[in-house]
Amino acid sequence: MYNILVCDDDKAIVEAIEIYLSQEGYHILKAYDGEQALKILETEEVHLLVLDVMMPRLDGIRATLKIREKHSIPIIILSAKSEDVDKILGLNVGADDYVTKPFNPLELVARVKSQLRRYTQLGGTAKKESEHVYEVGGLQINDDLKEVTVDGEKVKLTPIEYNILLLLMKNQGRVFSIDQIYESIWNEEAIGADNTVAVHIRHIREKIEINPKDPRYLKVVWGVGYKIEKM
Amino acid sequence: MKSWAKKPFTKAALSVIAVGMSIIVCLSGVMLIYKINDSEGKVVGVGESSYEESGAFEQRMGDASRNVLERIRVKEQLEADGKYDPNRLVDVIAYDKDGKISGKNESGLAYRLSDIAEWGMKYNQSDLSAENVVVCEKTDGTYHYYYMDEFKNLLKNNGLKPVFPNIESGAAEDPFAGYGDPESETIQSVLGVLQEGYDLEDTFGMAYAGAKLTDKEGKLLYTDFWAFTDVIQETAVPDGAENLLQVVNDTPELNGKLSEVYEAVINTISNLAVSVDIYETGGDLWTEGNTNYTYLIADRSAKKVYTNNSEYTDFTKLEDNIEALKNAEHSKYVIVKPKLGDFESNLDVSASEWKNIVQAQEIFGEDFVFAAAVDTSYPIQDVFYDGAKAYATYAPYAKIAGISFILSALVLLIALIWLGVVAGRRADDKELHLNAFDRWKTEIGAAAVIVPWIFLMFAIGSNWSGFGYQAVSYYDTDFEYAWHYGNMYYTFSLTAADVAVISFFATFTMILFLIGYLSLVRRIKGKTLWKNSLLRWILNVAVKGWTLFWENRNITVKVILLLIGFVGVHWLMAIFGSAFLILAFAVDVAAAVFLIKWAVEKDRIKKGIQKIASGDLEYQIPCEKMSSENRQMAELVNNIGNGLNRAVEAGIKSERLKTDLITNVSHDIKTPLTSIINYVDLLKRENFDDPKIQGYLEILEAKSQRLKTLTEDVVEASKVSSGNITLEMMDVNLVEMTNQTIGEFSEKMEAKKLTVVAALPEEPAIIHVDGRRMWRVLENIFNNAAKYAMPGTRIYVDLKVKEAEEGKKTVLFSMKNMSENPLNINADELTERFIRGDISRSTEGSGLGLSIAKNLTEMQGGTFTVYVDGDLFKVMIEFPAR
Repeated sequence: MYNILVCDDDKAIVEAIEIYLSQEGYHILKAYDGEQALKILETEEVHLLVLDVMMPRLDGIRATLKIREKHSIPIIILSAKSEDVDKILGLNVGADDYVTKPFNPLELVARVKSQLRRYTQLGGTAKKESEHVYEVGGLQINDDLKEVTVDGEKVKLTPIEYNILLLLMKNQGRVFSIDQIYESIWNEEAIGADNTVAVHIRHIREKIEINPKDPRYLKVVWGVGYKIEKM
Repeated sequence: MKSWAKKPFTKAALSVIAVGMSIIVCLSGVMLIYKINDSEGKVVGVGESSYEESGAFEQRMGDASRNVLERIRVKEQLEADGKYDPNRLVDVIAYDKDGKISGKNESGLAYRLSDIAEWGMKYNQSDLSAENVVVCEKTDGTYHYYYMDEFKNLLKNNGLKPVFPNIESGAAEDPFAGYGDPESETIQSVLGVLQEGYDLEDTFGMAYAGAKLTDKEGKLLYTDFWAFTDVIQETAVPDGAENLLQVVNDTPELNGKLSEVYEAVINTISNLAVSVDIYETGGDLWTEGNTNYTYLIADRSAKKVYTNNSEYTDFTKLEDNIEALKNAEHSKYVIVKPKLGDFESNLDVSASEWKNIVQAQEIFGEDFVFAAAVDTSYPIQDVFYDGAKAYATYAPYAKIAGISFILSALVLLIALIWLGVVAGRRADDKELHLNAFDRWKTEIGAAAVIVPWIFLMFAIGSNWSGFGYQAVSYYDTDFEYAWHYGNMYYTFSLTAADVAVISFFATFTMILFLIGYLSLVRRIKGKTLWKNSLLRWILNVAVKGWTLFWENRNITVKVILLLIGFVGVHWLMAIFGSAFLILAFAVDVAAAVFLIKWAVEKDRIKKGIQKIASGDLEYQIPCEKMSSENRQMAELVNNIGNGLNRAVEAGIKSERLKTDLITNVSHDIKTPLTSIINYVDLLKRENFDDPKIQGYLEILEAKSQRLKTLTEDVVEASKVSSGNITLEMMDVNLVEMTNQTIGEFSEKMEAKKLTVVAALPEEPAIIHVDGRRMWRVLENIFNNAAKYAMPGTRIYVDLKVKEAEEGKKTVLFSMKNMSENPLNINADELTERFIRGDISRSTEGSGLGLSIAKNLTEMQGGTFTVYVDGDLFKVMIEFPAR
């Protein structure tokens, strides 16, 4: 049983989130501004915090800064501000994830689950038992078992998808063009650009990412290629 | 500087010292100038230790020797057999030749010596009263001379008759024909011309050319006649004749040599007159017993001795006598012989100078001895005695005067410097204090000092007779003699009144000087010398007046005025010539400089206008050094630029405000929208059985999703259209990106059964864009196709690298599809929906996708074209290739 603190000045939103997360079996604590949230954190055991930014008294960004002085619990910022600068600011002050309003309830639930798994299983489960295990954030690929897990949950990939992901995971941070990926996976020369690789990448993203349009692991470098973001 | 140095007491004391020193400087200066170095320069020298060493002594000894030698020469010249005979004959021609009086009339023209002397004393070179002499050429080529009176009488009595061949032959007209008495008129006019010394032909022209003279009967006597003008008054009668012309007419040797005769006469009378004067008035100045000066002069070739010492008269004992003269007690001697090497003297004098003194009189040949000595014990009270006494009296004063002059001048200088340094300063502060006088205009202050001084000088000059200062002969009391022969010096005495006047002058001058000098120093220190000057004020007023006049003219008037000046100077040069050449040149140079400067400034203004026109609104034309016209223009252009810049900045600001407004509104919309979406979703999960409710929920969900899309797109479209985003430009392969995009959309396309037919080059097509923004462009147009293309049709994607003009390459991306619904809208409206309010907004998306794509493309330097032909929808994106 995890305690999740939801903090937003809009009570309707807090209650909707409560409904969704309760259905998943979490215990919900509610706060309507930053100060309340801080107080609850003082008294209750909280495993995850969903935090709005624009709130009276103490806003989400300042609250995150204060919380980070004492707590390392996952913080998901939930904000109407969808600009890149807002996201970067939120993540920089110590939030673990950033979800924009209006949000997809399923996505929010998935992110909550993902953060909790990572948080609670930190240092547990299958560690690097062999050299053939590659890991980025919650994404792990075990080449011995030919197994891919996201936040500990198995993901089913086709052999080609698996090979593409393995190539990118082995070379984290490096950008591969479509031709390079094609040549190394199919072992033949890429004559004429093809979008086959692009389609596979899309499929991989749909399987490993919570929001494929806003990928966390498998990033598109537009006009150049693809890469696994190094974390 | 110590404060006591600036105290008023110190200043007053210094001023008093300065005045006192100036008095001493003036007095000692006067003494130095007048007493020590008189006009002859040699009464007392400062650096000498005794009178005998002084220049004065040397000068007097030289003067005495000259005087003695002159007397010997005169005596030799005038005396015959040791006697002066006034009746002795002087042959003028012979005397003029060798300077000796022969006593006989050899040339024919001779006068008595006393007559010559008298004549010479009266002769005055500038006396032109003597009548002209008429020279008549005889038929045999010799001449006859007439005094004017004589000639006049001859003409009037018809003894001579003028004849004019040109009149007689009719070649010229008689100028007096038709007069009452033409003959008398002719004689009058001829005489007039001759009297004035003019030429007949020059005066009357052809008519009188070749005039001749005949006697009463018409017999030709003279073939020509003219006036001789260099005539002198005769006051003496020549030996054996009545007058000079008679001698010349009667003596064939002198015929035709009248001018030489006159020259000889003038020479003789002026020389002999002086000699006789010296001889007669010389007195006994240098005779034994009258002077301490002893001379012993010998002409060895004539074995003759001249001396004023009776012991030295024997020529045979000459050498012994010279030794005696040399060795006499207290003797200061000079012995001159023809060779400079034989010169002897115990004085510090120049051998060549003394040789010149001796030889100047030309008495002796090349074999002479000149010995002169002064007995410096001065037993006789002569000029040397006087000189020694004067020297003894004044030399100490001279030295004191010299020393006091230098010392007091030094002290004065120090006082003045000191006063200058502390001028305007006070002991108790560090400020500069100007007094009321210092605030007067500079020129008025200067006049206030100088004018009283000039009045003072004038007053002293007109009321004070000057120093006791008079010329005195060295030799005797005959002032006229001294004056005539330059043998004199000046005595000088300083009375108490003189001292008072000089002191007054010095005091007054120094006070005025101090006032002016200290005020000048204070003005310089206070930097008001020029600032507070009348001249500056006048210049300022003139400049201001001119500026006021000039600034208010328009350019046309100015150019006309300048042109008038320019052309005017050149006309002046053309009319008056080279005097204006330099001015014209200067004007040309000025015009050239002006025109070049003008042109440079015009170029700058043009460049500025071009810059501003091309959008660089912050550009400022550098106009500080421009001439006023161009400067005004440049400033106006800069103002236009500034105005435009302000307008643009205001526009940008309002755009930003608009974007901010839209962003903030969208934030406010999103919060309630979140609840709507969430609760619609929760409702859906309630599994209503009623299909109607299910239908309503579907609509609610779709519309709330559309609202979500709209709020996001509106913010983006607003930012993109206002340019309010930052781009991260990089090299991007558009082929790769197209493949990636097609991959991304593979499922969406499949869902609508759309086939993407891509024709992409094998080579990379590199463009310089912001990768993520470019993805937004492609995403939007692909989304557009996925939404509106007719299901089951093909979507063609083409990418080409095209050769554009001048070898530049462009990358052309195009996508075309068939629209499911009729396109009742034209291409422009599709991309500009955001700014148009009258278009139906019934479609499923925000309708802003194309608008955003177009704006983003253009922002990154590309072109975005939409082409609609029936149901064919085509998008073309073009970028310059890298």
